[in-house]
Amino acid sequence: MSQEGDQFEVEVKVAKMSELVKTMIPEEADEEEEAQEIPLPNVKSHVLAKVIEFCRRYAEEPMSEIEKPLKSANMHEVVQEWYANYVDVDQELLFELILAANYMDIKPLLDLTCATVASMIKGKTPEEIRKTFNIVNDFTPEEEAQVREENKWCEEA
Amino acid sequence: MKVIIETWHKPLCLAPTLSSTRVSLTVEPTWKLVKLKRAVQALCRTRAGRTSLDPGRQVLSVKQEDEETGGLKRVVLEDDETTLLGFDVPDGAIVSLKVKAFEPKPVEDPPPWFLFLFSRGSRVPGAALSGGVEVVVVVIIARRQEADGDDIYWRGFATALCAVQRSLVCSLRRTPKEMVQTRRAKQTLRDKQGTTDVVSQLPHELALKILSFASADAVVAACGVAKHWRDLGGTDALWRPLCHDLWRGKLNFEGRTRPLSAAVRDDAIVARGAPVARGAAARVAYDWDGADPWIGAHERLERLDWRASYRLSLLDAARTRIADDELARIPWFVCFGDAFVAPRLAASCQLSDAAMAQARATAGHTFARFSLDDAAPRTFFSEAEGYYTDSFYSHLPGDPVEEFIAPGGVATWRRDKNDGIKLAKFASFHAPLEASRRADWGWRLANNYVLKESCDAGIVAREVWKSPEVPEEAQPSLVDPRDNINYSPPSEPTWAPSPGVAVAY
Repeated sequence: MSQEGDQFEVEVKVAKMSELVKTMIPEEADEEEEAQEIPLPNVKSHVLAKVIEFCRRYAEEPMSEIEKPLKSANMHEVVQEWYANYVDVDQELLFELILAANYMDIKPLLDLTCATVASMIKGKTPEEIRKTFNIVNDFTPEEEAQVREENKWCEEA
Repeated sequence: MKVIIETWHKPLCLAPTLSSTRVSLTVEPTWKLVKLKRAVQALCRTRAGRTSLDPGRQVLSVKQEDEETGGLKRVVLEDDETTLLGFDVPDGAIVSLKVKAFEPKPVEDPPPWFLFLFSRGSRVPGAALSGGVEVVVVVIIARRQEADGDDIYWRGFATALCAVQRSLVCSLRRTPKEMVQTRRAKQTLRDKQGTTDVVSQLPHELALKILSFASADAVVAACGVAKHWRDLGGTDALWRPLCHDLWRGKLNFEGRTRPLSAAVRDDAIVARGAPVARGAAARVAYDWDGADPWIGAHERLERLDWRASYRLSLLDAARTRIADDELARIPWFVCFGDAFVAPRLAASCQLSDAAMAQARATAGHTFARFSLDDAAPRTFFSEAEGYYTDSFYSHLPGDPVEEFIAPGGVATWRRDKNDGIKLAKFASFHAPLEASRRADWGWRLANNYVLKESCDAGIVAREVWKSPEVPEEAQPSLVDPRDNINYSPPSEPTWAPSPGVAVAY
């Protein structure tokens, strides 16, 4: 059950991908038992739907392990086609997914979504990153110069 | 009989709402104040880092209220300056634990105190107890008043909240429905900054998780984005795995055993303009063989942070000035130029200090009687007589070390038990050896006669130098790990020493 009270029916196997849900399902629960209601007050309906979509897919075709650091800024080169398309969503939903994955404790989804954000950072200058995420530069000019000076070594190397 | 945990929170970071969650636990009637105090203190784990509340400064105390409190005592959670919160705990009665945004009195100076109760994975104290009293516990998340209205601590607040809920859910998994009841959001908290900088709004560990997928240059770029990002980007948790990756497979990583000699260190670093204080320029130790050796070794070295370690490693990898002690310490693969049959001379050995001193002491002697024109170098290593001819070595007194003169220098050899021979030292006294670095950070020292390449200590000459009786084809791994060394003597020998050139003996 999502924050809004919408209900989603999910197979036990899929639902148990979430460690949080897993702990809330009694161990002795059998298949034939009637459906259980699990409240997830922190997850909104549209996010939960998306999460369940991931879990179902994952049960069929597990996602390949994501290497650190990312090889490519293109998620299509990092994970399978379906997963790359899956995270091709607007930023707000992406971050809601991260939070939901964290809350529900679904590691592969958390990896996938975090890696996606990292891929948006990869190969960009600070200015480009600010633009991507709509970040306000709160450095004073002196501070910015200092940070740039501190980080010069990386460009040299 | 019951613990009611009521949480008031901004559920997750993005939802601009406040909601509350009420959870019940059952607690022993004998669970009194002292016990509660301990339990709550146990939960008051502060986090490492700037935003934590000094654990020493927060106390739970019991105060008897002057006013009529219906026989209740008041439990107060406070630090030196500020009472954060009080709640009433009757003996054998109800304790209320509320998770609630709390606006403390403004505090002038750091530390910016911020309470994290229920850090991730911690357990709710009442969970293990049963029977008894209704207890409601109050957890406060304090937020420092900032002049500019910085809302930064809400982030941690939301994180703590998630953790609380998870702990509760875990503890009480039998009755999930009873535990978790949401109340609809009634209040809206808009982000005061009015930005959609979602990364900054993420809980700390999630932002770190994102950056953990980034490469070093991306992390560095992220540091330049904004203050919050800068703080994130300096975290050891990020840089440790990056260091780990950087060091994998690298050779001669200085500081394996001890800090680099001061002269070289400062030359290398200061010359490149790196803003590293001399004292902080300790080397990072690294040894791939141990279980988790880089941690211990690293910590011994002045607790250099991992980002600095990464930076220093790169600086060191670019250094082309080799120190005397490195020359003596690093195992060398030696390859002579066309004057010799190169593979036959492949050998390496580490010199002890004593042997080193001896080599120095005898260098003058050898130097004096050597000249390029005498001796026919090619006869040094004749197939017929083994690997070298007697006529060109002289015994050093008191040491089973054999020394002979080669074009370009003096080689000192040593027989081991199996009569295998190791090159102990090749002392060049002609063109200075020019030092350069390989991609794996190994050294390459070369002049017109000899090429010395540093190699792993494991790959030693023993394998190469079988006794002369061993048939040619049976000699294993003569060129094995280093067969990619293609030595070609420079057409113009470099005679004049120049910066960045190491002079070996």
